Amino acid sequence: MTERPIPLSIRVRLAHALAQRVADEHGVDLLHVKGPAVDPALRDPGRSGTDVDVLVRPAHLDTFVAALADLGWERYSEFETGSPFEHAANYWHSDWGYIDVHREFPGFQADPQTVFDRLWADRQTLPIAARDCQVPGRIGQALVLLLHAARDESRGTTEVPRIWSALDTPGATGTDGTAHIADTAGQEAVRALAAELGSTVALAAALGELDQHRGARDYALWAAYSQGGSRFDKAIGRVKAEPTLRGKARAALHAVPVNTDALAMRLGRAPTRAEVAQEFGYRVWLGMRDGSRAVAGSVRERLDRSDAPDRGPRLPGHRQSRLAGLAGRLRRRRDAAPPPESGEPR
Amino acid sequence: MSANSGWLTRRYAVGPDTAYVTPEEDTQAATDTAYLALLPHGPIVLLEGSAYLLFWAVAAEPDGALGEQVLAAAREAAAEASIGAPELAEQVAAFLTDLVTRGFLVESGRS
Repeated sequence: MTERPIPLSIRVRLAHALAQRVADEHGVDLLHVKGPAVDPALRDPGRSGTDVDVLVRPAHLDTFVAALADLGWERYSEFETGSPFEHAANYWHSDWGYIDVHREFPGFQADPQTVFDRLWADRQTLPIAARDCQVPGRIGQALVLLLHAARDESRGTTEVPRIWSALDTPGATGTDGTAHIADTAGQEAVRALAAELGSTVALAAALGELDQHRGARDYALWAAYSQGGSRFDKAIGRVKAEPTLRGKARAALHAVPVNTDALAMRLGRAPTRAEVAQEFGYRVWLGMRDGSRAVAGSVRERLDRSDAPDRGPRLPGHRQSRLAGLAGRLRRRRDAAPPPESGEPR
Repeated sequence: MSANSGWLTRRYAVGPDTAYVTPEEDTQAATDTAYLALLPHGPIVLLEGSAYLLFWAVAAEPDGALGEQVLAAAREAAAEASIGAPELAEQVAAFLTDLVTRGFLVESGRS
């Protein structure tokens, strides 16, 4: 027996096995998603994953994370601060690496319990590192992967077409050895599951069909994420996507969050209030800068549109005439202003 | 069979808390290597070469393997090595005992 650095992909597999062992011991229902937990036909052969992703039954979440903590796992980021979606907490262990504990998955509008129950109902067993791990059925796996891709513009061009076409590859077999659904039934099943769990718009974003959902509450959110929008666009999208005023207020407050856990890891100690405030200020400044660009771009675009009706769709009715009036006033003021003195920037 | 050869008729199997990855599962594992982890506390260890082959002789059998089956695999692997039969048996027995002691394997049956 020798000691040597463990290849990352192997450490990830062993950590999957560990997560399942902890779940089994404590009666926790969880589903392994992404990485080695994915059907080989859907998996990107060039991508092995850097951490373990598990979706935990919401009612079992506290038990699972407490068990991890008892085993010496350190919380690297909290649910509330780990990401703008507040969907996962990240745990770290020096021997095993990272586990991303998901309490929900961005893209599903159905409540987390409903989503988990639905995915759990179709679960399969997949051996990872010689341990039987619970994974979603193939259709659930594909939907989770596609919703994940919807949050990352770079995955849209390569990963999505591969997953989508693999769904309907006849003759292949699933992780449980059963034959895949033939013809286009796989894609239709993914669309049906998305509709059932309220993820039609997010799926459309992944598939490049977002324009069909311009009127949807979460259209702006998925447009921003799938098309490389700015932080400001994403923050606005999150606020718009919330169905309640309370949710909108919360989303607005968390629009530029500080990952205090990551900050603590970076500093090697708990950050002081001043350090959190400083970090917050930095994040706000970044957000503001993005925001000011977006606002300036938007106004410029609207002014241009009011001046050149053939360049694209115009704003409806009263908003358009108000902007046209504003544009006219701005132009008159600019034209009336004396020419700048030499050397003065204009 | 000598007095301490009871291990030959004992059955060895992968322990219930053992996870392992071999090149058959992950191509990042080099040929003839196995990464073993004892769940949930560790450690994670690497078996290489003949150690991997002996472990695999056990792991490849769903119900585990008898000591004499592992020894047969060792003889085959060591066919071209200049090692005497008694010494080989001693090393295989020591290896299996070590993995059992560490918790990676479990043993059962006659002794």
